[in-house]
Amino acid sequence: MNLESKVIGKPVSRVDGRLKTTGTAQYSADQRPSEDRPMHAVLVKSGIPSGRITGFDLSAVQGMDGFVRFLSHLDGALIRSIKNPADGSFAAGEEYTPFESDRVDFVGQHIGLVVARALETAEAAAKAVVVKYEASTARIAFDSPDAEVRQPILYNTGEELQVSRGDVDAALAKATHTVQATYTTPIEHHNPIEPSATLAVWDGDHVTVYDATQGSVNDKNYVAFGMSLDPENVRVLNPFIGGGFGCKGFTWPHSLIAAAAARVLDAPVLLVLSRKDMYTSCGHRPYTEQEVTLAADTDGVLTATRHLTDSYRSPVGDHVEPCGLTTAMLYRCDNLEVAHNVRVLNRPSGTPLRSPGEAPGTFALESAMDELAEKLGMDPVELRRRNHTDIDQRNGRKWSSKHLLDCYDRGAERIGWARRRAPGTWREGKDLVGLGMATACYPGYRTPTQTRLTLDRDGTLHVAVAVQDIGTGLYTVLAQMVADRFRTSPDTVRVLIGDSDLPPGPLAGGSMTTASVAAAVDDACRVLSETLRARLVKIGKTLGNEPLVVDGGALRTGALSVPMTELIPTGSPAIAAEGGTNDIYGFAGGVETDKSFYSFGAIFAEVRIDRDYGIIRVPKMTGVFDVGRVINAKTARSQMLGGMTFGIGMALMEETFIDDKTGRFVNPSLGEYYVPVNADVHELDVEMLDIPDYDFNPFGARGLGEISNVGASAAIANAVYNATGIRVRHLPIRLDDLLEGLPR
Amino acid sequence: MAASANQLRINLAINDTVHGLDIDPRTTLLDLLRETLDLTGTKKGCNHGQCGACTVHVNGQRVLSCLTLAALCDGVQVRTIEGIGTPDDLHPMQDAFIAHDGFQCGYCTSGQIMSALAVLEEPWGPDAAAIKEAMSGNICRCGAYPNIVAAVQEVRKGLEVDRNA
Ligand code: FES
Ligand code: FES
Repeated sequence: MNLESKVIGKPVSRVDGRLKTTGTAQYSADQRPSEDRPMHAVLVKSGIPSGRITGFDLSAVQGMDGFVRFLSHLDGALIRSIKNPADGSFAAGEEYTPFESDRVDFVGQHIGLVVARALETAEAAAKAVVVKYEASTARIAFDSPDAEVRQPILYNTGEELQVSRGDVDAALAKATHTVQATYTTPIEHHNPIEPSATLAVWDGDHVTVYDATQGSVNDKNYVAFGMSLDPENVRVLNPFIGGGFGCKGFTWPHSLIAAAAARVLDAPVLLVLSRKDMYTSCGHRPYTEQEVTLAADTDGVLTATRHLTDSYRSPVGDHVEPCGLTTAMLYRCDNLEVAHNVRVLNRPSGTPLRSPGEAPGTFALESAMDELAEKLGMDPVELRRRNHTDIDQRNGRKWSSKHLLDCYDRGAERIGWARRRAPGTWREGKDLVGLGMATACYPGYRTPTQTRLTLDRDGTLHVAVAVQDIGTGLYTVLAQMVADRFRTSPDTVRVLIGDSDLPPGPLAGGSMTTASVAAAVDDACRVLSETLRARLVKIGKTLGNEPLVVDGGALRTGALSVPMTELIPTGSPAIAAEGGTNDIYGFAGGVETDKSFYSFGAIFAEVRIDRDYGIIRVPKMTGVFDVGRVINAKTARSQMLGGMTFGIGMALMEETFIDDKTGRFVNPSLGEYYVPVNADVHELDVEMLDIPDYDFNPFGARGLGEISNVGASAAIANAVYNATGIRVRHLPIRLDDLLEGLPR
Repeated sequence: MAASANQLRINLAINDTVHGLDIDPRTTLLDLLRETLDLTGTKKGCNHGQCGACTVHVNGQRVLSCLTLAALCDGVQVRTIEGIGTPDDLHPMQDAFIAHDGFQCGYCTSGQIMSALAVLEEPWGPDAAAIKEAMSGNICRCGAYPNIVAAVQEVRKGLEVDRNA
């Protein structure tokens, strides 16, 4: 029997499921590491968008029973001046140092911290601190006339943000079929259900930080820098993270503030952000305006593409929403222009949110493709097929493994695409029915990763790496990978992650963890196998070439079976091996290769719209994905369900409003920022092509956390058009966008 | 902590253990569980009654512990996720959540399971649409909804089978 097929690709239940379902998985705010109960900290945030702090009035606070301390920029240099370092050892969400000066750049900036023995006191005291300001002119509105506008050169992956090839104007002048429209996407927030939380515990010059972060190594280096410590004196623990979706990716000032407070007070300090804090403390997806122009000949072949994105950044955070990057690579087109502008506004900072750039960018591009298909009188799937290419349009390289045409075929069949009718003509009872589709894609990234593997006397394999499972299933996937290489069951593998003291690995972002650890685990398994073979020879065994099998209490190869107790005599240490890779893929400065790496997919949506009330429902979505080899069918499907659910939220519900006068977010709560709930989500149909990409890593997996969110909003918007004949070019699409024009 | 003038005395049973506690009148049941008693299985996602992560049972009914003042819990019976099952001795609902992958990050999961258990006792119809409605007070940002519905339905069917047996 081929044991390998028993592990990779199988729907193995999560190895951490027993902890998560019994409330015993400890997230950052759940940790109780010391006898001393932590002090509770609550942030004081700026109430103005621009100006200076002239003072704090603490008179209402000082007498509070259990109040301990108020900290601010008036307490001297608590935190070293943060600069994103040239060596890339950490990436901060904002290049500003909390409590460094009296300057205020946006509403919600952290300007003070209240520490008290009890949480109730800290909350009451934070409300009672009166801040005095001297306000200065703020640029808040998107169209502020005097806002500085920048043309950033590179995205944080090193990819070019201003791209031009061929001659777009000349091609447009000759074009027979052209569409041009502006699409907008709103401010959106990640809203993981776990708010960010930091518990800092000092022991002399060493600090342990229990931090809700998507990157323990990044966080460690950031805290070390801010606290002026050697990185060895910082340990970040994050064994469980309650979702992140990007807002816990780069590190944010609150982690430093908690560490600084604990140092000053010489006591453990726990800082848990409130839901409202989350809206201004750890990023959001910025509003975008995207003008897309497409031209095609009568056969539907693209002759010109232009995608201009206008967005903004805060004065202290440099995130750019890179909407046009997908456009630069996806369809064959010789004349192309992609540009990104950002205005500098006095708003909180943006940051990557699940498929940054790709999700809002494909809303615009894939809506425009739908409009072009309509103009050409062509089936939207057929239009995509005619512009399909096996060559990465940015650099002329071949894709390592691209089966997008199969995704279109499979998706069309699964959704019943043949049922689709002309816009506004399909009625069932009181419902207007429509079908729409879009292409999905996401880059393949890999970063350097090291792994330690250990085999102990009872036949248990231990795999250790400083990565984190934010809900993706990485605990289980690591167990499966190691089990696969030693032809054993995932039950015999113990997974140690969520600790920056372990061999370094990537942060959980960019859908890159599985591919990165795949290469490192494969290498560590090879090293451990060689070590074990040498050990067998040393104790007098004769070996063939058959692979090693960890089989309960014995190590087997071919006909040979050696008890672990003989391999590792009493008193000897477990057998350890380290392996890894320094290869980088998908980022600037990566491995020189003649291939390009991307995941692809196709999303199809059916919508039903109440003819009288305009209420939009999505009874079915189908996603077919080409994401390389699937390691765990169960957790992979769950990620796709989650991404498609994000897409429903983006298409129909999610929007944060900002008040252009005060610079405040108007709806910073889960009661007023709508996310999908159980009753909003109907049939989600997922198929994985499951074709390994061994050029990318030895397990053949590419990432899959983000791609299922890409294209989802365009597929729904296109289905809304098909149902009603109404083209909505902004998100979210609400019933009031439809009510007036609904066909009766 | 010593009782001070503005503290209140309450007695309540949590997972069948009786506690006599001197509390700050501002304390919510959620913070009492988490910060005083270290029962951290119950989660805080919003503190405003908007996410369901803090769902517990009070006298057998599901409540949002972040909206419940501890001072009003004198004499009640509270059940939290710690009183449902343990990693070595799972409740069937916990088993079903694992089998159907009814979570990803796991942060909403205690609340989902406490809600799901209450739903078994509430008068909801048998179909999946009823479960979606009944479970819509528990947000799962990871989007495990279809799997949550599958888990709850499996347990419900199991209960029906048991009843008929
Ligand atoms: S924490 Fe109670 S409902 Fe969100
Ligand atoms: S499992 Fe992450 S919020 Fe539900």
